[in-house]
Amino acid sequence: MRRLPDGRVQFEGPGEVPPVSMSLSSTTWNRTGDWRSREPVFRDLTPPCADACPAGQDVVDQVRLLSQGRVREAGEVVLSANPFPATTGRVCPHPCTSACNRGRMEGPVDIPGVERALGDLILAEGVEPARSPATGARVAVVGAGPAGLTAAHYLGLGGCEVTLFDRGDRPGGLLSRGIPPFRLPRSVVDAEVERALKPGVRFAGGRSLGRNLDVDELVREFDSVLLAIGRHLPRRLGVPGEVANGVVDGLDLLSAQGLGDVPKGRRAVVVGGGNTAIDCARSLRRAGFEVTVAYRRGRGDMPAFADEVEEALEEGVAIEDWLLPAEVRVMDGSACGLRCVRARPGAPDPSGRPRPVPVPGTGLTLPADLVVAAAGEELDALGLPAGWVEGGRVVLPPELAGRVAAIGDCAGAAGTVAHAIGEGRRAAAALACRLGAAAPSEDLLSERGAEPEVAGFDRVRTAWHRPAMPSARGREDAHLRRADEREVRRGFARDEAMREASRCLACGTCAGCELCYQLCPDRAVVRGAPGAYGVDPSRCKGCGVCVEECPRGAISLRERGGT
Amino acid sequence: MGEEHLLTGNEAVAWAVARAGAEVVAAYPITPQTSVIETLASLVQKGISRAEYVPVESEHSALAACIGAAQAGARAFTATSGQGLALMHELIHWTAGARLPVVLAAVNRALAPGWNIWADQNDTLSQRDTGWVQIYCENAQDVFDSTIQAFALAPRLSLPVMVVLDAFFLSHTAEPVSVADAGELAGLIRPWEAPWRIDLDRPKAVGSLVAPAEYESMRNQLAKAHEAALGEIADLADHWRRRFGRGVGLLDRYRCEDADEILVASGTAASTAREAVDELRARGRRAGLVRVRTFRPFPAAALREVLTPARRVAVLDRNCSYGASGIFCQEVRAALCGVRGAPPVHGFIAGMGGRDITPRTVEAALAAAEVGDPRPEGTWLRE
Repeated sequence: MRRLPDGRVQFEGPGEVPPVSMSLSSTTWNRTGDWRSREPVFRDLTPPCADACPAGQDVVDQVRLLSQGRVREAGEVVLSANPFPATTGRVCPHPCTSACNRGRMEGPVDIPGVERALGDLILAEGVEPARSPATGARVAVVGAGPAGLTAAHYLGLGGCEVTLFDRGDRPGGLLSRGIPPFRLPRSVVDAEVERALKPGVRFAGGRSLGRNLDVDELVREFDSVLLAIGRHLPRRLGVPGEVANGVVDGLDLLSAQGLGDVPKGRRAVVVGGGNTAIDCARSLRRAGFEVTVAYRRGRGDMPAFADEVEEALEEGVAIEDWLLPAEVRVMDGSACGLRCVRARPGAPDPSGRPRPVPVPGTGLTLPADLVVAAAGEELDALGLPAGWVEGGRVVLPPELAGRVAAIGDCAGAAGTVAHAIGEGRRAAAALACRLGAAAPSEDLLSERGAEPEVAGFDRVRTAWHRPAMPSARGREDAHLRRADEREVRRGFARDEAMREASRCLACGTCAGCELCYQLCPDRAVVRGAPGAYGVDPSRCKGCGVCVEECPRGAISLRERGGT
Repeated sequence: MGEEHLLTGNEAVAWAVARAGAEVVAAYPITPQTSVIETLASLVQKGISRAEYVPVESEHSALAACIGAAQAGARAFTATSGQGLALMHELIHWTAGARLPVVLAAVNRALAPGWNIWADQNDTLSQRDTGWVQIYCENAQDVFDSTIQAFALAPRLSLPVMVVLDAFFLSHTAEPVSVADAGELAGLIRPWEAPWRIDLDRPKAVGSLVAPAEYESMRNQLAKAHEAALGEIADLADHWRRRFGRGVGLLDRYRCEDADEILVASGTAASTAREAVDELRARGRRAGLVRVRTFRPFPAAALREVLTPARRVAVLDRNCSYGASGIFCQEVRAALCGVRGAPPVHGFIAGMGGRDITPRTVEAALAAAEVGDPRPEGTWLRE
């Protein structure tokens, strides 16, 4: 038997052939990879949860770290995109969970439950991001709601000197004034707001544009101005009697109730179908009212989150749909009922929902000593120059670009807290770059190398994932929770949150499971850290086994030399 | 010394597997084999056998597990019957081609359809050309001894060994069996140290593509291993007779020395034939019996030696190669082909699907051979 220079062996006679097929030398001389016409590409895709997140969070990464009990690191990941996870874990309608691929298996991962637990844990453990060196850049942020707070936080974190103005005397905006404590306990908001303001943000409360705050002065005095004033002017009912005693605005009601000012009365009618309307109805229920929500379209058209509507019904709130307010009945200067007209679905409006069309000759009067107008809010343009407002939202003239910007609800954002957080962070990123400060991440996914392509359910190999039923957090009993301000939804304890987090499939994201390495028939997959696997081009024949088997679709096949 | 136990053929297999020190048992239940692995499971549970017992989902997987275990140097055993053996067929070839010392107990069962759980040999004879050693047993003691010997032969030859026993007549019939103890068997079964054994310290690939010339060389070596096996089996039988005073190797000759007419049979039918030969001898006929114990490798030379002096040979087959004749008959004819003065070979097929073979069947075969010419396709004996 002769050994050739490349390592092969050659028999010198038939007697040297072994009795069975077996290797007598290494086969590394045989560069089988040279034959391939296709090759695998290890690439992270965008998981559907992250794709759906209006705040642009790297959901998979934060969930993975928490599932491993790495609370501090998970906290750092979430805080890099969202300074308020304990809040969003409670109030966000979680489009992430609706998009979760596991929803097509045993049930989606309870991402808000996990985020809430993570948010609470890092508050308790005091996880805080570190501030970059001060740059001396001065920024004014007007409005301390979620959008303004987020922008102020990241700008302060990046080294700017930020002054955060608000008409209220405490920061939080809608979070503290517009969301009742049974959905979002005050202590949670306060703690997260406090943490957000720590790095270089000075809060200046009790300052309203047009009253004791002048926009021109701000533009003069600060390097940059961000307007995040929200929408808080109540949309009027526009019916006779609406100025009577006992007719109140929804946000005012929530704000007053938050301060301990509980209205008196027996029966209330809430006009509207959004979250404010439902929050008002549930708050009044807790104050002892019999409550009817009157909504002008069908139950399914309500903009309020479905979970909130379901919980309101559990608590005994009545919902009357296809009902248009016609007149507030007044007796002795105070409201005593709301006369309404029945409506029927008409042609769809620009939102795609049917326009309510009054049905003549119908009507009923809902008896009420309290009528709440919660049919939406509008921009309060007081103090804004005339040329800055267009179509009910702030639209800045182009010459102000770089010096003044508007974000959040006042600029027409889609309206959830998560949207506001996303806008706030992106605005801070753009501004920080301009001001030479350290910028927060604009897009966490692309910055960690994920491609925009979304890893849909077709990329999940369900057989590789151990079946795992979702854990139910449950709610407090409706009878008990109606009696006080206790939080309705239960949370996960640390170990429960870790267990639920471990159900994450990590769609489109290498989790280091090693299957590609183990299943490669040519041992051509080269091991690395999670996300750092690759192939040895001299061995890989492009068979596609790794692509087909990757449990989370993080490998694709392409033509050799293609892109 | 070993103890006497009352054991069925299947229990005798299980005890022999335990005494032989099998290290991996992987099997799937099928009547009439099931009590082999049930007994083994019980012996494992009691600690009498130290084997790793691997439950699997099919016979194909059972043999695959044994192949893996054997390749890594473990003493591996499986058992099956009929359809199960047919399902293993692909890996039956593999085991021999990979030259792995696996031991398999095959309890003969007729193949479906129609469904039949009783004895005939078509299942094991369908595996004739795979490269396995095949030993056909006559009684429970033979089963015990043959199974132990299979474990001794397999690593010496690097060949898999199939121990074959008839359904029910043997598998489920209890007889006194002398069960040798570990001390008596010491040194008999050697560890398998072939260079193609998987060894973590000497990594290698096995079973990959080989070019035609090398393939032919490997198959030629498989054939040569069978030639060598003839001698090994005979030597082991001599050794066994010296140690235990019983048993045969390739062939069992009974009253053949001066026989005019010799019956060739296998399995439990040989016991029946023995009775018939005694009866015929009592009536003055010079009858004899040859039991073929080792079917692969086929003991052609030994058969020529014992059969050539006779005036005629009758072969009793509990099997059929459809379109030809009984399979043992073909083999005997082939062995005598070209031998000067060789007697005519008459083929008889009986006992298919577990039908009884009685002394009358045997007498009918010898009587028919006396009056007629041999028929190429054999004669079916159906009373």
